[in-house]
Amino acid sequence: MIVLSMELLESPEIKARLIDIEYGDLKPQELENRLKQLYLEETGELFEGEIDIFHSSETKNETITSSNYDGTAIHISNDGHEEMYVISQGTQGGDDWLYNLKSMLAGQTAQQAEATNEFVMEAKQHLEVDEDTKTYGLSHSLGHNNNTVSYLAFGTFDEVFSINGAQPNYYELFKVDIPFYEAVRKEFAIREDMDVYDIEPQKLNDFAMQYYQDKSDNIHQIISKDDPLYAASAVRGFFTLGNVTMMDTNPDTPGLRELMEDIPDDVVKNFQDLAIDFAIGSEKGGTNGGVEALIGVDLKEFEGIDGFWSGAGFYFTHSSEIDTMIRSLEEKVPTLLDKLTPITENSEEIFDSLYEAEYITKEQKDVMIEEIAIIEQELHEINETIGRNVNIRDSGNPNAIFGGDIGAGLRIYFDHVKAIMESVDRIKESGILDNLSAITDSHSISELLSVMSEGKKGYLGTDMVYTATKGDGDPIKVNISAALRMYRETLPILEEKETKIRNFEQSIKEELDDSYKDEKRKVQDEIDRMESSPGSYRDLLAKHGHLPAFNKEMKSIKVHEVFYPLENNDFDEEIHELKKSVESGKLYIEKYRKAIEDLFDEEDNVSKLFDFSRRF
Amino acid sequence: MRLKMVIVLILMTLIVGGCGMNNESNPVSPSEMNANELPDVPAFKDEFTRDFLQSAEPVKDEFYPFVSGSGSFTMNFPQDMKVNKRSYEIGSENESEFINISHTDEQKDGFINQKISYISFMSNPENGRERMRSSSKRELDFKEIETEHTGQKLEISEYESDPFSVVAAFIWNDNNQGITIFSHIDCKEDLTKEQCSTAKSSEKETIMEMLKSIEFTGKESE
Repeated sequence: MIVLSMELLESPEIKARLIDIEYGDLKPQELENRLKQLYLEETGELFEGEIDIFHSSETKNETITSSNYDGTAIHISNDGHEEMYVISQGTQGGDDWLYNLKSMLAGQTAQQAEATNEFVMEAKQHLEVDEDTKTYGLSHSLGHNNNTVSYLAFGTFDEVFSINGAQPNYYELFKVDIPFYEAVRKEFAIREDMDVYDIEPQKLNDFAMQYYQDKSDNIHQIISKDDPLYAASAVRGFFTLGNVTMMDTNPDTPGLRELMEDIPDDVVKNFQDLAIDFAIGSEKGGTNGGVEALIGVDLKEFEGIDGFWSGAGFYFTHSSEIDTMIRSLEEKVPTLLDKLTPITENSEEIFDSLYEAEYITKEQKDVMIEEIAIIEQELHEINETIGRNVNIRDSGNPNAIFGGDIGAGLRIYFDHVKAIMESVDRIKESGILDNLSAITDSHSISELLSVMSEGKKGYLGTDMVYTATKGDGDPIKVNISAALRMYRETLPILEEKETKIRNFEQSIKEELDDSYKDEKRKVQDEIDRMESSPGSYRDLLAKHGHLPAFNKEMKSIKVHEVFYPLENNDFDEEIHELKKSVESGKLYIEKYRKAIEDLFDEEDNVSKLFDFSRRF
Repeated sequence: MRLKMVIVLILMTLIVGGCGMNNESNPVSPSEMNANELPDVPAFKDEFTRDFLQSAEPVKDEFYPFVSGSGSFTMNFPQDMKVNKRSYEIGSENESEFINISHTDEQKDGFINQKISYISFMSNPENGRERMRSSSKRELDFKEIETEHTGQKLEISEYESDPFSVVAAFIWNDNNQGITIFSHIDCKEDLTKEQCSTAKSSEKETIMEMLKSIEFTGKESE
């Protein structure tokens, strides 16, 4: 990949590593040092320009803070050439996952994309970057969706680069990019905005690709075939725009996307619909609210009923809740079933392919297929019970209605809702959720870096590893990043130790020698005063008589002073030892450096790396 | 013993249940009324839209009182439009809201689709204008419009983007509240140019009526 434009941070590796380091939320000075070290490792050159950093936590703009947007702007200038890089952080914590569910699957909100735009504007102001300076968006995961939507809709960046990014969603863009919205409505003759969801996804995808074609050249992506997010991008809504370099990080397993592509679009659409209901519900009331949005029942209201009689008692006190429950089940369950059935019909296929790809075990596959079938069955039965109950209600016989209500309400709860919850528990127990989370390793930057090795250079996590060029036998791998960090960071530590030792020497002098002299002088002063003006010490004779008969006088005072010398104040030996430990520390680090250098040929320039590493 | 209890239980069920029947006698909000008591217009037929409407009594001919989901502004809502559930969005702690409103009546000559974005944290009105410019990729030139509401400003900018006539509106106050609205008007396919422009100007009146009626209800003091 040739990216001439991002000159100051040119290689994909340096950008990938910087994006990963940014996740650490380092202090500006620390991030600056890490960036300089990255630059040194990747280019072999010392970066001597200016670096200024602005983090989203410093902003007071609430569009940014309320959206949970997290990012860092880095303004770099060197030799009169200026560039600004903005790293938008990927998924972090619970709030973002909710956002994922909404914006990615449902195509619902573009708040973080708007926040990205506002953050870049504020960063430019804060760092005094002028309008013409090229601005690049760097990101991983969700960050790519933010950066790209922001770029396409608001023109925030000149170019964007990402690793395993979440793709932009054309439903999101339909909402925020007004010219795109107009073009889609014109092309597909949409009368109501809602009708956009009825357009065949492939057609909308093709149209969006065409519409944004001229921006495609400015979007650069590296994607792992095994990235679960890439697999998820096969579903409706997402379109993959830009120059994409695909990498196979796990050649032994098929890509997840191949599995996803077999799932029919209407199944995916149903899943999206459920996700939207869940998302809107959970926004108001957490997970319980999400479940409530799907089945219409607030489970919290039914906590604590565990037998028929207490259930009957519950009915007396909560008859209106049971009534509401039945009404809402009546309304929600049939639609839920309509959406769920195509998903369960495909569950064999979905879990079979996950099993064949060795993501889950055979037992887990069986548990999933069985339990999902049970959940569907229970929902069917709820549906039938409600159907019968509605018939009774319609019969108009009040006794039958109440008998029907109590029977139906409790039967639904005890026979079916509980059975569904037990199914969910068995799914949790099978451990399948943990297995599936292992898939997410392929979403990481480090897994991608690990296959981006070239020549003697390789990566371990986001550290750079060199394979030794000298010596026989098995190749020796050296973590160059760690070695340089140690070489660089021990010097200030040893210097700090030296300072502490100097402070110690100083303290000894001040606390012991100087204060001994001080005290001695005070005593001597007092002696001198007594000897020179004995008359003023007359009252010392008071015990020898009383006024008015008191007539004694102090004629002279003579003090015979003896000052013992200060002992045990010689710390020379200890200080010498301490100083020696600093020297041996320095020596040790140099020996360490030498040992590493000896593993490499001179033209590998390892020595230069060590030298430069102490110059920033 | 058991049979007795069942009988008592059934009796009590009748009494308690019977009492529970008529306990919904709150002042009538449209979302609690029976469908057959509501005005026979699209806004009330749509369940999601009904939740935003405060009364089945029109505030003005063909307009009903509307309160946004975040409770941050009110407006007069045209009877033949509805709020799209699927794209509706409300921010945490009612700090923001996105409302998409469309015409439903297929018989009409002109159609309106509106995107309404409310935020409670607009630091500077120029940011709001700038946001609308970058979103539309146009140099919008805003003009202030007089309304009867004090303490807030309404500015609009109009443009043509074939086949749409667009009204971009910006409403703001000094309490960091801001609303940006893009209203797109288009015509039924088979109209002549003249018929279309007549239809559009009639729809524009509806839009202006809505825009001028928008009033912030104020934030809770912080």
